[in-house]
Amino acid sequence: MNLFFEEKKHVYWNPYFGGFLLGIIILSAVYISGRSIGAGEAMKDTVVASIDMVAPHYTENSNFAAGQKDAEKSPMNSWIVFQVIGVFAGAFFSGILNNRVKVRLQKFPKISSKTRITWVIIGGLLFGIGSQFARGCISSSTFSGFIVLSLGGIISMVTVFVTAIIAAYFFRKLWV
Amino acid sequence: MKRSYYILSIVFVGIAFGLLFLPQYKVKQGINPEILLQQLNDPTRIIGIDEVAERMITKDPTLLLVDVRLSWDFEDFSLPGAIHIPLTEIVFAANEGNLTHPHKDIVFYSNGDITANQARAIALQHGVTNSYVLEGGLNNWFTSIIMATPPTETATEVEYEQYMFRRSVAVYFGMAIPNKAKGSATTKKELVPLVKANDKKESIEEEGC
Amino acid sequence: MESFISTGLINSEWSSVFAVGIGGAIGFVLESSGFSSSRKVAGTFYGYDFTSLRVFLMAGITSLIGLLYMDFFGWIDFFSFNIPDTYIWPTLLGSIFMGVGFVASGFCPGTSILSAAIGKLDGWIFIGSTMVGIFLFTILFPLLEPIYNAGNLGAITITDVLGLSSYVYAFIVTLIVIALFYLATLIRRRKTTVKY
Repeated sequence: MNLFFEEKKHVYWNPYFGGFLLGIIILSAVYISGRSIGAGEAMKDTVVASIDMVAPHYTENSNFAAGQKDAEKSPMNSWIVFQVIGVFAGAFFSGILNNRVKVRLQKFPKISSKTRITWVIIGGLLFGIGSQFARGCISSSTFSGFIVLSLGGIISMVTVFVTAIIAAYFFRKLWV
Repeated sequence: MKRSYYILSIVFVGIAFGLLFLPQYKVKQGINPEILLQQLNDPTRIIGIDEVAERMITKDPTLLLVDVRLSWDFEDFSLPGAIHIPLTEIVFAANEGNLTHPHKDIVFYSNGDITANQARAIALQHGVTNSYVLEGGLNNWFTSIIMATPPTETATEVEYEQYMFRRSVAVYFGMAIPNKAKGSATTKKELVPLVKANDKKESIEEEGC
Repeated sequence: MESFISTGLINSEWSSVFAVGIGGAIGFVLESSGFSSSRKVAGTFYGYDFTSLRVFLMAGITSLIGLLYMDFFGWIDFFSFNIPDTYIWPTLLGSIFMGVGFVASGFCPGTSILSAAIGKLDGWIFIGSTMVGIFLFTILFPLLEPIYNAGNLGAITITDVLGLSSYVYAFIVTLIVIALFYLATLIRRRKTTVKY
């Protein structure tokens, strides 16, 4: 198998084909489950679940956590968490097939690992806070913007994109 | 390679362009059969006569009584304040939005047969969700309220209260038929203190008598 | 939204199996399209790689057009979707946060999971710090609550605002997206293939 894929190590699918396939998958997901996609929610569920595990009284007292916590079942049981487990498995499978699985730190060659890690942590913190304010991360706002035509989703999508283009100027040392 | 992208984009624009020519109406699916069945069998659809009677007396504006019987039955006798929509016309009424009152509880009743349930089923399929069926229909109303039988001497206080309430309702709406029970001395003696417990009801009782 | 699972046609125990299955398909497609690489995703903002933009917009128009047709044929009820409320100020604030975080790290939560799955350490670090961020938000929630609930416009859609029918909207969006695809090919820098 490796022999077959060796040549294509860094060759990805045609983006239009991938996008079309993703669209079809979203359609079937909507048809089967009526739910959206979005990894941010799964992370939130996990955080709420782990807070609940460590300090059960906290989630009861905190309005936010209690609001997110399903009264009947553990957040770990929710659809979105299973979906993220699936995403993880699917990505791993694709990585194996294309010989891309390797423990490493990906970065622009001209920056140090320390710089990369620092900015990843800052980016993650910003994403964690931002996705809660915006009530969803990019994938879920794209979903709600494109599919349910929610105004908030479209505003979020456009704002993220415009902010990122502006911020790209200041972060250009990290990438190019 | 480049030409295939042009073709693909033309295909996509074409498919999207096709959307513009879709007729604005949809293939009408109505309510999902599973959910319809569940709502049809929902036990909370039955509304008790005592509850309806109380809401009629307090002139509850959220109550809408719908008589689904034939027109001569309706002219013969009906509940006060009820509107008359025969079963055959429910579908038109629902489609025209005459049954769409989001803040009202619509109570269908017939003579105690299946007609009221049928009316509710038709209304449900046309989007009327807040509908109920009067328990036992007018027959039950007649036997329980108009012909209310006094409870036996061993009956509980609750039963006495219910009897008194039903009696008052019948008198309030001027439907009371003087029944044999009124002559019975024993029951009358026991009824008096219960009546006095509620001044309003006592006055109603006196007027009627 | 009525679906197989909410109506009970699919047993709720099976719903998690479907969740894993759909997630797996999404993960496979996204990884194969190159979303697991933060440099590829960040390329959108520096003009050297528009893959992520293409995939997402293509998925968006495919699903939008597909859903409208499915709605027309009565397979789903498009207008019964649960439209989330639009909270204008927190959405803007949060999106600015996410935009900066996106460029700083090259990840969004979804792509970080893909990265982590193929063994990239930065993906794992991003997942960890995102969770810390959510945790911070949860702790500070009493302070942030006024902002979080500010400017609720209710469950409005873009078609309400523009006064268009969703069919016209879908057509206009398709045209815009195809124009963007063309624009992306124009401004892509003529770089040799970057090895990610």
